[in-house]
Amino acid sequence: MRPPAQVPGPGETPQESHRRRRVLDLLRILPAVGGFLWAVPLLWSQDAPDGVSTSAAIVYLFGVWVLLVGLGAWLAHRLSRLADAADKPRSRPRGKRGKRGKRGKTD
Amino acid sequence: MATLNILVAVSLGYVAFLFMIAFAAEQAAARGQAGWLRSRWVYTLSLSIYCTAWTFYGAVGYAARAGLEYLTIYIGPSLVMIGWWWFLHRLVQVGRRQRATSIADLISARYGKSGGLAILATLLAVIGTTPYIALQLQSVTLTFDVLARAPNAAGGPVVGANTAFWVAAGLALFTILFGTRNLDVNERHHGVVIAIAVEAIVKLFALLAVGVFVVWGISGGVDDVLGRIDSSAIGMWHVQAGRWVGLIFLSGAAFLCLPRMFQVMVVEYESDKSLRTASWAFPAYLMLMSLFVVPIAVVGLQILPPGSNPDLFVLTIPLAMGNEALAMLAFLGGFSSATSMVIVAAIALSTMVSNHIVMPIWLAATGRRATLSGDVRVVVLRARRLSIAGLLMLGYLYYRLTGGGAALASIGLISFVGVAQFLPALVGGFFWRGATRIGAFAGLGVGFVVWAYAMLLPEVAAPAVISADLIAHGPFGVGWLRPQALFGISGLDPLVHAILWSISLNGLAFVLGSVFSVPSALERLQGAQFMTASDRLESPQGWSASRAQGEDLMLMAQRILGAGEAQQLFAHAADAQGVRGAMPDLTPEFLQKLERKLAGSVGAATAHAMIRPIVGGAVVSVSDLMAVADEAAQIMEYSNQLEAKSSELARTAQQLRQANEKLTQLSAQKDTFLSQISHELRTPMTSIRAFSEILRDAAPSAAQKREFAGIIHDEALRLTRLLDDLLDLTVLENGQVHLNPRNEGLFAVIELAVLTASGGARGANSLRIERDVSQEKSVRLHTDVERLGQVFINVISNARKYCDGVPQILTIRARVRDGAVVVDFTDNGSGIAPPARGLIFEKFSQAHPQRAGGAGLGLAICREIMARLGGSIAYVPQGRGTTFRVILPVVDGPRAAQA
Repeated sequence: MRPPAQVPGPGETPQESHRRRRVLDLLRILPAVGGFLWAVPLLWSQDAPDGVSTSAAIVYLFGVWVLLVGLGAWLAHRLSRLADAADKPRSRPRGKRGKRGKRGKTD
Repeated sequence: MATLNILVAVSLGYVAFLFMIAFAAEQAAARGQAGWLRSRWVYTLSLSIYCTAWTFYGAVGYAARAGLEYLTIYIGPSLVMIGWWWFLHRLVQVGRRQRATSIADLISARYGKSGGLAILATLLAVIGTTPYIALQLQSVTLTFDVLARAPNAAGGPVVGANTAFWVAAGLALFTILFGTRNLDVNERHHGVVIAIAVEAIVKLFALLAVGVFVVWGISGGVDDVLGRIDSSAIGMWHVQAGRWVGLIFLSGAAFLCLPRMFQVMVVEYESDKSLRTASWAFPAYLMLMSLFVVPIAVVGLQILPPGSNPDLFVLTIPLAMGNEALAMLAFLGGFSSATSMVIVAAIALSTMVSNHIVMPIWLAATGRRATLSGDVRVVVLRARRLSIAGLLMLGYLYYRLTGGGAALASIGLISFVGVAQFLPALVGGFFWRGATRIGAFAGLGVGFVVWAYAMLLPEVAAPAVISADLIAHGPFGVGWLRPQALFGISGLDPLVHAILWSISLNGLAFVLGSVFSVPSALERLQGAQFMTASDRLESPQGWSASRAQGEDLMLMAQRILGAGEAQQLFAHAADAQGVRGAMPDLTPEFLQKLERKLAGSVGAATAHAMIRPIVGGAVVSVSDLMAVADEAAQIMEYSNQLEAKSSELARTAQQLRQANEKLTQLSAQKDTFLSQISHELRTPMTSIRAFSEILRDAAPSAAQKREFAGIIHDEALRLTRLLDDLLDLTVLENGQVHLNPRNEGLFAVIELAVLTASGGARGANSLRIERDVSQEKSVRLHTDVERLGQVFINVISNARKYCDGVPQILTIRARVRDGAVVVDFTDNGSGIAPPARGLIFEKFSQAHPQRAGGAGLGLAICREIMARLGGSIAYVPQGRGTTFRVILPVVDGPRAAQA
């Protein structure tokens, strides 16, 4: 694993590095989204007449779960692809390579 | 139908099956075919030991009592896994790098490899986990009992309490066989991991099967079940906000802190890929585990007689419906849940106990000999096996003593709050550089005391240890110390109350203890390594040793790692150092590697303690302290370096620009110089050519001949003078001039100059010179008199040539000021026009070209001469006339020569 997520890997273009960092941003924010969505039921009325039935609550809570699992899987998949690409130095045009080589030394 | 014998047979058959799988996995691993054993799916499934019998049976009971609140127990870990990039990622990276063997080991490693902290954490982990083990034994016994007496619904328990004992003994045997085969925990327990992965599938499958049976077998499908749910006692959404949030936090914290979770999550961790997959796959697993809980609870409440234990609905519903096979499957699912938890928890705790309690005691008891004699491996393994047996025995005793009274869920929650006390020290250690050992001690201690007082005593041990009176009125009648209403805040739910106070006081003590204590160098170093996820700051920890100690280390390593592996380690190190076949140099790198390797077997604190007596004190070197500078500081330093480099580049560029400008100027000057010199040379040459042509072609008279020859001679002289001047100037400018300093009076020099300047003049010598002779006579010089005279002559001639006063008067004033001789030549002319003043000392510049007799090199030469003599000549703007000031330092002896 390449240690600092911010530093571009050896075989990474700036675009890929940017994309990887955005995926990490989404990964960071996902638990906050989940926490918020799972806290929403606390706002529901708990009194008899206009309360929420348990079946509706189940559908909502498990819906959030499915959503989080789906997003998590998608992000993990994208991160795997981008991280693999970043770890593997590929052959690329000479000019870019030289630049990259220099930058690689800094991390 | 399911007689006791069949039950026992099925259980034993299942255990034998697990045994075979585990054995096969160990064999495969031994043959180096462990790849598939370590897939990311196995990792994900192994995390499922979070779901114990409490989950398998207790969740339904929980839902039957409190509705959807049971979901919090799964939502917390799901959020932790979904947010893996925040903390889990860091935890497993650092845990693997430090070769942490347990959560106590990791915490102790973070806080300077503190042995004391490891002992405290181990004790707390044992206290927090024992009830949980008891809970698993209880659930197995209970379900055994239910199944065995199913045919004759009434009657006393068919199975005695001995069941729990035999279950405990069997689990201990299994755990010892597969959990303590190898010593290095980092070599992983392939067999155990595969076994719990299989059990994970079994329990999920069993619970889903019961769920499907309930929804589609008993009820009429999804819609029917949802309708039944809404019409049941738990039909309305109803949770306490405090409990909802508190339990989500608690379960997330426990997920990180439970010793058994640390075992599968960090110790058995394989690669980043595993964690990436588990980050979503494990929440999905949890979701499936909790999917059918409410339907089972609701259907159980409807079809089973009132008063049935809802904690056993998973088992009793199939039984009641006559589906014995499904009941058996459910039993196996619960059995799997219980056994996998107990096995892993026993491995994790026995590792802690042997590494942090038994080994230090044994080391202290045997002293320095410990590291040199006796087989440490045997000691460690024996300690571990005894610990496993002891822990299960403890769980069994706890079960017998409490009589299995409390509901499954409440015991689980008590245990959760207990282990959650690790959270501040654990998370703080990763995110707060200032966290110290004292702080961790304080936090853990305070947290556990509050937990025991506010939760463990009132809920578990209430009747036996403390009286109801104490709970109601506080110790000695002190109201604000009531266990369930600390500080007089009585409105809280007891669970939320316990979480709130234990964690917050724990955190407070942790922060205050850290702030008011000073960490040791080793603590800082370890802290720095925990703060970064990278290996970048990896630096050897300053063991310094001599080669003589190598033999001792080798002996010790053999006793812990085994002869083969230790020899291999040393041989590798020797190869790497290029001393094949010999004892490797005990470099700090090698010693650190060795310590890490040993730490993988006996824990960081013990490994540190074992190396120390052989090697001597650890030296924390400057480079180690450099490593303490955190990543941010390094990045800042790096950017500072970049900045310095870029400003250096900017400076260089600036210098290059200046040099270029200068070169351009010089080139232009050279061009000007060349054109001027050509001009100056051409003028006399023209007249020489013209007059010589006349002499050659015409027939001039004798008088004319003489005149023309005179002109040619004069022009040739002028040319010669010009060339002399040029040569002189070049020599002066290149610094190749050779000076001949000697002692002379100023008067004599000026006198000679005046005579020369006047003597050379033709025609009316109208220049009158006024001098202060006595003053001049008092000044003695040590300088190149010839050159100085040249300057004076030039200045006097200039005055005669250019002064427009009538009559021409030149005043020469000499004086000594500030260690320098100052000679002013002032005439009574109209002076030099301001624009010309800056140029008069330049080559070929003439203030009055129309009256020029020379080439305009005189003053330029004067300036160069004075510079060589260490003095200067300058035009001094005064009210009237032209004043040239010659300044010459009065130097003693021959110093002027070097000028």
